[in-house]
This record gives sequence, C-alpha cells and structure tokens, in this order.
Amino acid sequence: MGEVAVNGLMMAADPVVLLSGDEGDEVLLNGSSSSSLEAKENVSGLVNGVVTLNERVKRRAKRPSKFLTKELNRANSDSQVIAPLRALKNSRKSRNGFGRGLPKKGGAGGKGTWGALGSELTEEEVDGAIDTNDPNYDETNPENKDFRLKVINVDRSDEELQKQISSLVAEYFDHGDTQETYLALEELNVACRAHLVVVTAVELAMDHKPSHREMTSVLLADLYGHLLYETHYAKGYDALIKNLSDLVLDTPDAPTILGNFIARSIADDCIPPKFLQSYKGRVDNDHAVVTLARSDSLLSMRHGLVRLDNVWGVGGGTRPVKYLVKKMVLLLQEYLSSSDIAEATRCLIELEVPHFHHELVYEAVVMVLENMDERTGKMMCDLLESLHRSIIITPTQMKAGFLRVYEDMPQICVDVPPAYTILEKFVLKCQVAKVVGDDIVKKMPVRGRKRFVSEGDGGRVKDDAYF
Amino acid sequence: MSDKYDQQKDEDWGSGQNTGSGNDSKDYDGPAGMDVDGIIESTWTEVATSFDDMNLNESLLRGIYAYGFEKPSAIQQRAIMPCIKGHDAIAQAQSGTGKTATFSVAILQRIDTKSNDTQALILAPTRELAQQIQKVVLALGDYMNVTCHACIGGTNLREDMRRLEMGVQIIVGTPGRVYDMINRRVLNPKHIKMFVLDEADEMLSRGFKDQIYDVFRYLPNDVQVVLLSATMPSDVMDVTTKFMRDPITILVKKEELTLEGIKQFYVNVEKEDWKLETLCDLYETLTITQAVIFCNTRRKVDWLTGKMHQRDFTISAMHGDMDQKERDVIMREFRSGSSRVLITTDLLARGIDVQQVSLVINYDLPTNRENYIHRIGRGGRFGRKGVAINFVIADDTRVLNDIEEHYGTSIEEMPMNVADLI
Repeated sequence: MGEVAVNGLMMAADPVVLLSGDEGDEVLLNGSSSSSLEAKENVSGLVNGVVTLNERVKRRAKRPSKFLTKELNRANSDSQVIAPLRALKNSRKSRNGFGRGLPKKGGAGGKGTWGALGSELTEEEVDGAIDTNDPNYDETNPENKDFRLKVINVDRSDEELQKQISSLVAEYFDHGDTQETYLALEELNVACRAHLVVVTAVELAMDHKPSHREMTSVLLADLYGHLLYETHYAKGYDALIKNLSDLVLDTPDAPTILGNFIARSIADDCIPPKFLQSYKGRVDNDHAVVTLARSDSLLSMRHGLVRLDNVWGVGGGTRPVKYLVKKMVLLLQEYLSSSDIAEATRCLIELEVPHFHHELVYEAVVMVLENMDERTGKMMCDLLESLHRSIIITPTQMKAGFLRVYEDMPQICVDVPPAYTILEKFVLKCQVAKVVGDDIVKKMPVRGRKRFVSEGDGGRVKDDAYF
Repeated sequence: MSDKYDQQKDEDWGSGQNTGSGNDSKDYDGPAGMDVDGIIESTWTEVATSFDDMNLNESLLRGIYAYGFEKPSAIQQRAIMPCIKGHDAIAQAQSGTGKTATFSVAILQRIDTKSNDTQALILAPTRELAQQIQKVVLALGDYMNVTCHACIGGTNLREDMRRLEMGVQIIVGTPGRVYDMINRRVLNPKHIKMFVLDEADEMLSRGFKDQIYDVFRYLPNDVQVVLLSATMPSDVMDVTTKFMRDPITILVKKEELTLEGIKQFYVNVEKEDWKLETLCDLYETLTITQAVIFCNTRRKVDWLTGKMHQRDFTISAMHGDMDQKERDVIMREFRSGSSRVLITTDLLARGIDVQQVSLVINYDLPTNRENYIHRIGRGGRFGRKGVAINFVIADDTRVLNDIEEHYGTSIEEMPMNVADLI
C-alpha cells in the first residue's frame, strides 16, 4: 500500500511524465496494488484530478482528496513524503469516491435505515421547508409564513344580521340576563344598524309568549344609552309600523302587540312621547292606526305609566313562586264570584307555568275545605272537570295537587274540624266527574278513629275496643 | 332544532328513542284503546307497535329509520294508521311526544310523488314552527323525492311565490300566510287531500281562528282533516265539530317529562368562583356514564369549556351560536359515546336525549323554573335512574326553594357517595 502511494506521489511529482508515460506503467500499477483496491483507486483518482481537474471532479470523495491535495503541496515543499501517507493510512474513511454504501458509523444513519433514535424530532428543522407543491400543502395553515391575515369588514346583509340577533334574543329568553345580551350584541358590531335590534327583538317576541314579550321590553329598556338611542328606537318602530301588514299575517295581534311595545318604550323613557304625535294624521294603514291608538290609549290612562309595567301580564316561570300562588288564589276567588270558567282558564294559561298547575288544584281543594259549603265544592268540581277535560291540567298535575292536600290534612284539620268529611265528599264528587282516578280515592286519608282508654294510661290505644 | 319556539310547545324533533312514555313499552303494548291508568283514550283500537307493521313505502321507511326513529311513540302507534287510511283524526298528546312525525309520516305515505300538485297543507302557529315542520318532513322524505316548502314571507315573499308557482307537494305555513298565498293565487288548493292543523290550541290562542276558517273554505269538500293539540279547550273542540267528519280521537294525556325516579341534589358552593373547583372535583363522577352540564349563557359555556380544557379535562360544548353542522357533529360524538361530558345551554336542552345521560349538572340554576324539568327531566325519560346536581351559591337559596315548590319535589344536599347512585 505504501509503495503504491509512493509511486503515485512520484508520478504526481512529474505529471507530464505520467501524461506522456506508457500505459504499461499504469497497468503495472494496477496489478501491483492488488492488496488494496481502494487505495489504488484513490491514488489514480488523485493523479487524474491533478492532471485533468474538471474531468472527474464529481466522482471524487471530497474529504480525503482535499486533505491529500493540501498534504501533497506541503509534502512537495518540505519533501516530507511520509506525513500524508500516515494520515491516509490511519484514516478510517473510505478511500474511493463513493464510500462502501454501508451505514454511517453513528450507528443509525445511512441508506435503508430509519435514522438515529429521536432524529425525527430535529428533522423538521433541517428539511421542514414548506413545499407549496405538496398535495398536502395547506395554504390556510397560519404556520406557513406566506399566509397573511387581513382585516376586512364583512358587509353582512340585514337578513343575516337579524338572524344573529334573533339567536341572541332567543337565548336571552332563557337566561334573562340583559347585561350578557348587551355584551353579545356589542360583539356583533351592529354599528349604524342598531335599529335592527329593535326590529328583530320585537318580531321575535311576537312569535313568543307574553312573558317573553315582557323580557323583550326589559331588554329594550336596558339597552337604552348603551347600544340603542332614541333614533334607533324611532327608526326600528317606524320600520315595524311600515311592515305591519306583513307581520299581521303571522301574528293577528301584531298591531296591538306593537302598540304595547311602543307605549312601554315611551314609559321607559326610551323614546319621547312626541314619537306618536309625529304620526298623527300621517298614516293610512289600518293596522298602523290600531297600533298608534293602542299606544296612545295606554299612555293617556290615569296612572298609565305604572300600569304599563304589567302590559304583558304577570305570568312566567321567572316570577317567584309566592307571587304565582297569590295569582292562583286570586283567580280562584274571582271564579267563585263570577263562575266564569273560561276566564279562569284564560288566567291560568296566562301564568305560563304548566308544571305548577298542581298548586291550582291544591288551592282549589283547600278552598273547598275552608269554605265548608256546597256551592264552593260544586263550582270547584266543575272548574277542575273542565280543566281536566281540556287537558290543561294533566292527570299528573291533578294527582299531585290532591296528594298534597292529603299530606296537609292534619294541619288543615286543626282549623277546619270537619275537613275529613268535606274532603271525602269532594273527592267522591270529583271521582264521579272523572277528574281523579280510583287510586286517588283509595289514598284518601280518613281521620284516625283512635279510641283511648280512660285517663292515666299514657295514651295507650285500647286494643279490645269494639266499634 | 335550530331555534326554540318555546319550551312548552316545542316538539322534540330529534327524538328517535323518545317513545312518549316514561315507563317503556309496557304502557302501550297492552290492550289497545284504553290504557290501564285511563291515560290513553282512543276511539281507534288498532295499535301498530313497530313502523314495520304500518305497511309504509320502503323509501319512507328508510327515511324514518335514517332519521333515528326506532319505535313509534304512543301517539304514533295509534294515530299514523287512521291518518294514512284517510280518516279525520284528532290527536292530543303533550309536546315532545312525536306529534309532528305522526302527521308527517301519514302525509308522506299518502302523497303521490309523480304529481307536482299541492297535495297536503300544514298550518302551524308560528313561522319558526313551520320551518321546523318542513325540516322534519324533508328529513323523513329524504329518499322519496318530495317537495315541501315553508311559507315565511317577509323578505322571502318573492322566493315563496316562485317556489309555489313551480309546484310544491307539501306546504307549511301560518294560517295568515297560507291564506295570503291562496289570495295571491300562487297556491292552488284544488288538489289538497290532507289538511293538518298542528298545535291547534296555540293557533287559536294566537287569534288565527278566522284565518283557519278562511283557508278551509278554499279546500276541496272531501279533504281529510287532521288536528293536533296539546290541550283541548272549547275553541279547539269547536273547530273539530265544524270541520271534521266523524273524527277518530286519540288522547295521550300522560306528561312527557317527569321528575319521578330522578334523585335531585344540591351542592352549596357559596361563591360563583368556587363552582369550577367543585365541578373539577366531580369530574371523575361525571364520566362514570355520560353527563350534561347546563350553563345559562353561551359565554359561560365557552368560558367553562376553556377552563376545563386548560385543566386537561375532556369536554365538549354546544350552544346556539354554532351552526347546525357543527352541532350535529358534537351531538353525534356525544350520542356515540366518544365524548362523555357535554356543556350546553337551555336553548338546546330539547335536542339532547341520550340514553346514557344519567347525570345532569345545573352549573347555573335555570332563570325560568319551567326550564328545570326540560333540563333534567330527560334523565328519567327511559325509566332509568337519573341524578341531577344543582350548584347553589348563597343568593340562590330562594330560587332553589322555589324550584322545589314549583315541582312539588325535594332537592337534598348531595351525599358523599353520589357516585354510587349513578
């Protein structure tokens, strides 16, 4: 190996000679270098490289050659022949241009291997270049640097905006938090179209129950000065008045409802009363006339402004239970004096608490017990029968009401001694009217007919009593 | 389920397993006609306990099952067949028992898909409800190639008229709107063979009496009338006696939602800020089965979801701000069980009826007490045991008492072993 190297060196020292030299020399060289094919290749490469640089430069293994060339020059100047040889000899690198195609010594690299453990973690940084031609290239991925966000003002159509508002208002009907709704509406960025809030809220409220209309009025009042100003109310109500002929198709009461809303807004100081006056004599639409007349009459009533707080009635599951109980007792008392079943029914439905109807049953039965007269019993039975037949009070609610009375009987009995007998009469009457089922009749409590042995026995029940 | 019409009247559109009765099948698999409790009264004695027994078109049947229905509800078992056979019918049932699907199935079965004439007319009390009905009809008729249009007017008036002039087989709308369309001569009532009055009580209480009578006058003499209502006050009875010939009456008086069998607890968390910690403490318990957490606002839903995610709890959320597609995905995940805890608002309470939900947490107490049963009532819908836990802060004590009184129920302090009850 060393010999060959020397030869090579010598030849290199006199390149011209080699160039012009016979081929036999080369052949001989090849033949003599059988000990290490690699070494020979290296050397011949080196020789050629020096001679015709640009011819085989690509095929050359870079490092050894660079190293060698440097060494060579030094060797030339210092005539130290051994040094490069030693370096070359000790190099563990492949001495041909290509390497042996074996895995790298790191233990994990090379062709056909998975790479070093954990190398995939750093890989991205090395060749994580974004390839826009990659079929998986996602141009909307904000991590790509060439992706830029631009703020644009979306010009939503009125319709779209109304849809968003109505979804917020519908949610408001559930949670009843005006502050929350205000924040959400502000996020919507209604800007100059704030009057749409009025339009949408009122239109939605028309589809809903009175208690929701009450909530809408509260919302509109609370938004005053934050999101809505006089002009918005005026513009919104104006749009609604103009649209009445369409609204009335889906809500026959629309003119009255709108009149209530306007009057309430005036009472809440959201718009000045002159809003109504500005319409005087300038409307030709029948519905609009109804609306304006309604508002006007509400406002001109004595103590009208206070009354307007209840313009939407008094019901709803948001009202305190005590309040609803009072209302139910009141409607029953009114019924007892008017004997108008339809009116009592209307009042009950207006309260909008179908799951609290057991309270009406309870109050009705208690009233029967306390009044202790035939008439009350008969009337209440009629009322319950009607409510039962029309399924406004469901069998479940009816049952719950009666069971509650049964539970409270010991207490009621304190104030109304004959309560048990009256109850029995009433329940049987209700059974005949099919208001209650047999199970309720069977559960009816009877006064305990305990008989005690005479004084001094500590209240021991007489066990051999005969009846 | 995009928007709620209102809590009491809202039909439970998506309720496949909702069989209209809390106590499983035994209630209405028994002898037909009269229920043991006298809760179901019917002048029609046949009961079809499966959709397969109704001799429906194959494509309709496909639509029904694809929609998620498995078993007909009490009202569906009794009312679909007479409706298909062309009888006038009065169907009374509480909201959420599948009344809408009842007449939808009957209409779809009776429709002649080859003809483009308007063959069925459905009246509903509000536009919102009309649109929901349209959705149900189109979903059930997905494989049938039927046309159904909801007239909502307003800015859509032109579109309404264009669609109607093209010919639509099934039309839904409020009485006033439909009458307007007939007057404009864009709706030809000549070939209508089915006339449906949905939520008749609600329509009449909204003052639609005249409009209903007006529409009816334009309909052919032999039109079949189907009336559905949750209650049967006298004005509804008037309509039935005026318009209907020898109607079949089916009454299912049973309440859909009940608190029976549901253990209700409260946890005194004292301060709003401490609710989150309490919820995190309960998380292990939540995931025993599936749980729904109710907040009052969508902002709270977003906030709570964020907080829970920060703490590496797996939770999905749904509220009205999301579009339908997104909600469907979340619901599917929840139904399939791949997500186990769902945070939502009242607005979507009705859309959730998942058998596995046996725990409901009221992170906020409902503002409207009537919503309470809609939130937790579903847990017991399948006759399973359910647990409801209410988070109560100092100010809520009165509200909690009111809820107890409102439902005539009692809510106890949560015991330590609550996990055993789920």
